[in-house]
Amino acid sequence: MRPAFLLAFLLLASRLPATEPEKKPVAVVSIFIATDCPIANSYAPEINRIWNDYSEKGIEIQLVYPDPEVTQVEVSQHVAEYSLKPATVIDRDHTLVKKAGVTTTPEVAVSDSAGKVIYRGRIDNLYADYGERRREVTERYLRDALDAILNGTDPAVTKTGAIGCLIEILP
Amino acid sequence: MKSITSLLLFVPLLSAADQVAVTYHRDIAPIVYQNCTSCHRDGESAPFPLTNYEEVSRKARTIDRVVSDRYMPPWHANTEVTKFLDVRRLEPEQISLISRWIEAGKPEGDPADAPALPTFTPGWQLGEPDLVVKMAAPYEVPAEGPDIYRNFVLPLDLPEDKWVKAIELRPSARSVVHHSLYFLDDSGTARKLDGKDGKPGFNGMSFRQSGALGGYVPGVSPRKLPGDLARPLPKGSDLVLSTHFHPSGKPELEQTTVGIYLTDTPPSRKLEELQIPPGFGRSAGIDIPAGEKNFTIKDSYKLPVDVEAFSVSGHAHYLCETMRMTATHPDGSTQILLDIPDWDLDWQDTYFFAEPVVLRAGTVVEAVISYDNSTDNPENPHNPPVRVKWGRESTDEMGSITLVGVALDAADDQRLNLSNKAQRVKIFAQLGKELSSTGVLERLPSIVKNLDKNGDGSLQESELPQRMRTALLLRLDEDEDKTLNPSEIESLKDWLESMKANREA
Repeated sequence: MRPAFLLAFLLLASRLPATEPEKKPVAVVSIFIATDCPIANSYAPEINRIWNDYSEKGIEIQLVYPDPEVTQVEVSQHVAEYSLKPATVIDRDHTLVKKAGVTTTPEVAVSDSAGKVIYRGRIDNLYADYGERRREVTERYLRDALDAILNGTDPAVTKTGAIGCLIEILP
Repeated sequence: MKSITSLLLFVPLLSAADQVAVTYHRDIAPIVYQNCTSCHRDGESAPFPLTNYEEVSRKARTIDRVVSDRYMPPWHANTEVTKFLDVRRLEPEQISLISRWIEAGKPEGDPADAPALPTFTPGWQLGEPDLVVKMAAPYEVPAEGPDIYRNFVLPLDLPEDKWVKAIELRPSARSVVHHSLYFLDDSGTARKLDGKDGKPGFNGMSFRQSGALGGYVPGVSPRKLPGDLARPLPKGSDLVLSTHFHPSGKPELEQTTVGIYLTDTPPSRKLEELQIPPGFGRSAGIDIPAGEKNFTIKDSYKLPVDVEAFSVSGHAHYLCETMRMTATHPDGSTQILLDIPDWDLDWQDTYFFAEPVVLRAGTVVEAVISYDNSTDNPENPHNPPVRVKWGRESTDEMGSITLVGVALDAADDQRLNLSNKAQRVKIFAQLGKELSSTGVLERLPSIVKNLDKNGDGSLQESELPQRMRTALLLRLDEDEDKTLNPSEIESLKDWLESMKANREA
């Protein structure tokens, strides 16, 4: 880089408001969902509560749409319809699906700051099976995993089976 | 590798033609169109459409899972032991075809092989109804929380008696309306309850049902009653929709429209609902200890005349696990009329027999219903489990199986009707049992005194509690003067005492 260019850049940069250095998230939660999966949709209020409770504690939460045919417009409509708060990403080539090892929507993968998946599975035990919904949740796996991370410990449960709509395998 | 192994497993079972790769158009489309598309299309209750290759392929693994799990198509009655109409149940070969198609990479095949997509009637399935009524205001279903049971009153204001052939329900928010049962109320009690909590409708089943007209479950096509059969709709009755909602993740507004198909002519035979045990199980002494894994109730009814039965349906709540209705014919042979090995409150279908079932006089129809009130039952509304008794809330329990039919000979109508009504006596026997432990015998004189408004020492029909009138008169009014005179009241005491004695015995 030429010195003059560098100088101009530094001058310009010095006039910008000071920003905090980018903080690395303590953990990243990927919540795999679909626009038309009723079990995933029924979690919308709990997803928003989790976002409220954890995103300011250094945990990054993103919604991942693994359906390769879903459009950005459909995702935006879905987000508006269910008032979903986390950021969204469409995982058309299943990079995130494979990295997380998920099979289902809704299913979550929690990665630590090194990118290692430390919890994968269901959000909680609201559904015992298809059509078998508990009146009250008695196990909150995702919240427990996040609390453990925030306390500097390992999640007690690292894997659970998810119940919902299966993610298609790409040809 | 896995796909090769599973294909090899099939080889010995397959004919030469079947060994051709499974394709969507030839093999999968017929299964989907026949069993899924009636709900899985635009404007219907299912969450996504299944009407073409792209749509089915996009959901293939989910379809495979839920059909293998027998969650879809929703159907809970055993079809091996009883033959029904409109069966929505896949054969094991159909399920394995779907799995094989996915393993083969979901080949589309030749569109020329596909059956035509069935033509579905838009709007009212049975044509323009004779009467269309709509909820006066929308009811808001919240985004989440437990299932909701809510009753909505739809005044019909009919100036004269009519007869109902069929009812069709059109929800405005199909994704949250799980099912709806239709009741009649001629007392105005439901109207009084409606909107009391500031929202349309009311909770609980504490209104006086004066009739029942069936119900709506997604996927079941509405049917007109066969022949000239029809259910009575007396003038002045209100229609009460008892609707079950599943929250969907976002708030929804439901404003149901109901289409009623009527006839002016009374049917030649009276349709009887033989509910066993009566009162949705009120007579059965449902009292399930906390943690009890297998609590069973049982009741039977001996048919007084020949009966032709058309349909059968069950009712129970979340603790119920299984129900079965068996007919023991006079010759001792048995026939299963309904077997539900995995009861699911969500799918309270009415099952129509493939052919009307004729049951001769003397046939004993028995209902057996079992419950799991332990933590093994994930649908247990209580955690930890608590003692659950009969009650009208969904967290209480009920349990009955209803056989719908007519006396085979119209001349026997009245006999069947009276005998059926007399079954309700069992409810009062149970109430008697429960009351005897609360000292009702001792309090009987003061109860009678309270009821005896005109103080003549007898209880006229109008003085009897409305819901018990028919049963009390049937049981106690020996001189049939529609009045319980002092000696007949005395026999009530004897009856309660004998009940108490029975209980003690």
